[in-house]
Amino acid sequence: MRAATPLVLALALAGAGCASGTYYEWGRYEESIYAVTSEPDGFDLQAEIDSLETQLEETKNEQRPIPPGLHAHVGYLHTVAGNPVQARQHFEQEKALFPEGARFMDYLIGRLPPQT
Amino acid sequence: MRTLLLATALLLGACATPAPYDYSAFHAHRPRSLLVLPPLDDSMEVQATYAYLSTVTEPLAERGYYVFPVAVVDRLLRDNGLSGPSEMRQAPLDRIRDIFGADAVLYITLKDWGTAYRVIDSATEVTVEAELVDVASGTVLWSGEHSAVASSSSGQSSLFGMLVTAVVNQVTTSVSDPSFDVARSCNQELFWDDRYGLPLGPHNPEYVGGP
Repeated sequence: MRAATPLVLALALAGAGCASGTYYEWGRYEESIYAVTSEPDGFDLQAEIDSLETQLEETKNEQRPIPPGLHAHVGYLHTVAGNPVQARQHFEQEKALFPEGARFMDYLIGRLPPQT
Repeated sequence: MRTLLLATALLLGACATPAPYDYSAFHAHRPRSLLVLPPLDDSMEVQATYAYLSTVTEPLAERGYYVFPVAVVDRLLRDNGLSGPSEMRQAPLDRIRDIFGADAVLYITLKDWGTAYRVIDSATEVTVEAELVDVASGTVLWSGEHSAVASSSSGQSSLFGMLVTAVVNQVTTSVSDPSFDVARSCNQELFWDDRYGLPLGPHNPEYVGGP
């Protein structure tokens, strides 16, 4: 196990080096896609929401582009967690960034429980 | 003489570069938004569908397309009674247009996925077949297939080095499955190839329209 550590570290560094060359700031988005789809009932919902919202905050502070789908993904997690207000906010932000997703965001907003 | 000419022609034909990809259908429709459905899995690897699905958004979005949130799409279709990739592939295009408003759907089939462990090394192979279909007309806009292989022993020459590599790789695969990285390089070569890949999409900073 010890012998493997430098290799794992080298791979991790190589991965980090690649990520910085992208147009969008991807962060954990695709990792979260895997968690949500491969273990729909086994992942930590609140931890996913917290970590992706922290990431979104950092991306906005650094004025880097947010990738397509990420706000919708977080909005969906809020829907599952029973937070329709936050869910709607994220769906609206996805729509503002990417008008191509507007119809789908309206569909997802339409499925939320009525605002009280 | 005639036979000789024919033989020469065949030889020249074999040497010539393959015909360029015909992008006329693609340019006639110019999709902006892509709906990627969870891939059909011919590889019999249980993990393959969702492992692959978690590698496909970045290369397509970086290419310049709006990519619908793949996990949300999968969950929503399941909630609507489509229990798996083969049921989702049957979803009618007019329903896809009504719910998602997508310009095009990307249908993916995984023909190979996974790692074969051998005595002194291992090989990981991913083969992806992709077809992009225009939602409004049902026309195939683009299609491609690519295979990527990574061997854990590449670059090693001494037997001692190979043995060490095999041990180290056994350990690292338990930390992270090499199939993800191989899938990512497969996607890169499939979607980003200058001659056969997807043309740049409107969100790419270098997008200038098309012919």
